[in-house]
Amino acid sequence: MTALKLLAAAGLLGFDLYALWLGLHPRVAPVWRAYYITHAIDVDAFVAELRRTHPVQDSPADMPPLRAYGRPGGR
Amino acid sequence: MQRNARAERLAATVTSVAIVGLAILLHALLARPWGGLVAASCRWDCVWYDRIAAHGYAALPQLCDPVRLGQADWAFFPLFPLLAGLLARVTHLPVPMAALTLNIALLPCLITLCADDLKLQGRAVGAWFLAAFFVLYPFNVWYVSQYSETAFGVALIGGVVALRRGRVWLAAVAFFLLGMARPTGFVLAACIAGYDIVTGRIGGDRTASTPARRLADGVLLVAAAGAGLGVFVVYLDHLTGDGFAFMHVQIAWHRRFRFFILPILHALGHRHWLPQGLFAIAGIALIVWLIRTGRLFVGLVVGVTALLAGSTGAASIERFVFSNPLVIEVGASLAWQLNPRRRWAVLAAMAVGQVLATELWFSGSDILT
Repeated sequence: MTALKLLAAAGLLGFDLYALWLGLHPRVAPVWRAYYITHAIDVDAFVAELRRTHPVQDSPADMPPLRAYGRPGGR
Repeated sequence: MQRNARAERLAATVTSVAIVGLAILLHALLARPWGGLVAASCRWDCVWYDRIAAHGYAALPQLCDPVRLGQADWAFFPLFPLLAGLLARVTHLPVPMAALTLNIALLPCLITLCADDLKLQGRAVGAWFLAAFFVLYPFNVWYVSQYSETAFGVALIGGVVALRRGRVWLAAVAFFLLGMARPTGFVLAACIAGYDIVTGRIGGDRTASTPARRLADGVLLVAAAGAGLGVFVVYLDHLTGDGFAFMHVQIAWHRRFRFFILPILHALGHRHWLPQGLFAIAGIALIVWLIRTGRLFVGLVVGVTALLAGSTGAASIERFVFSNPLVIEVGASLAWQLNPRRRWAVLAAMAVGQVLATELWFSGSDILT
C-alpha cells in the first residue's frame, strides 16, 4: 500500500514540477512582464499599451460597473 | 455499534439542515430591504466569482472600468466558481442564485464534518449546539454569501477528518480540492501533512503509524494539493501565458509581499483601514492564545493563513482568521463546556452579533470584506 502511495505521489509530483516550471517561465508580452512581474511600469502605462494592442471599445473581460458590489477584493 | 454511529450522524445532519434552514430564513428576512437574499448577499468579491462561474476566466485584465484597471479574475481560485457554474447549468438557476444555493447546501456538510472532527479529538459537542453556534457565529457571513469559504472549509475539514480516520486516499482527494480552492490551500495542506509527519497526532490508526508510513502519507498529501494548484497554473499558462498570473495580478490591488507587521501598521495609521488593523491585532492575539493553550494544530493552520494573507495587506484578515472552521470548532467546544444557562447566554450574544454582521455585510460596509 505504501509503495502504491509513493507511486501515486511520484506521478503527482511530476505534474507539480511541470506546473512549477510553467509558472517560472511565463511567455508574456514585455508590457505584461513590466507591469505584473517586474513592477517596472504603472497601471496607466500598462492599460494604455494594452488598449493600443487590443483596440476594442470595451475589453471583453470588463464587467458591469461596481454599483452595489462594493470595493472589489483580491482573492 | 456502527449502526448507532450512522444513526447518530444522520440525526446530526438532519439537525444541521434544520438549523441552517432557520438561519437562512432569518437572513432572507433581514435581506428584504436590500432586494432579497441573492442580491443582498452578493458583495465584494462575489462579482468576480459570478463572472467566472458564468463565463469562465478572462484572457485580458480589466481595461475600461476605472475602479478595476489592470485587475483580473485570475486572483480567484477555480473550485467554488466551477461548482457554482456546474450547478447553474444543471439547474438552470441564475448564477448568483446557484452560487448561494451551493453554499447553503454545503454548510450542513461542513457542520457535520466539524462535529466529526471534534468527536475524533474526544471533544464532542452536542449536534444542535454546534449547528446553532456555527450559524449564529458573527464571522460566518461568508458561508451564506457567494464566496469560496464554504467549499474551502469542506475541503479543509474533510481532509483533516479523513486523515484522522486514517483514510489517506480520501484525504488526498480533499487536499487536491483544497489546492484548487484558495491560494493558501496548497501551503495549508503542506503544513497539515508536515505537522502529522513530525507529531503523528492527526493520522488515524496510531498504533500502526510509523515515521516512514507517515512520511509516505505526507508526501502523497502534499503532491495531491500541489496537483490541485498545478491544474490552475497549467490552465492560466494556457489562457494568458503566465501560470502564476493568480499571484502576479495581486499588484493590481496594490498588494505585494512585505513583512507582515508593515501592512498592519499601515492599516492602523489610516482611518479607512483601521477596522482591518484592529482585526489583525485581535487575530495575532488569538493565534498566540491558541498556541499557548496547546492548540498547536489550529494555531499553525490559522497562523500560516494569517501570515500569508497579512503579508500582502490587512484587507479581509478578519475573514481569513475568524471564519476559519477550526476556530469556530474551538469556540463551540469551549462554549459547550459552560453550564446550560451560560451556553444560552453565549448563543444569545452571538445572535445579536450575527444580526449586526449580516446587516453590515448586506449594506456593503467595508468593515467586513
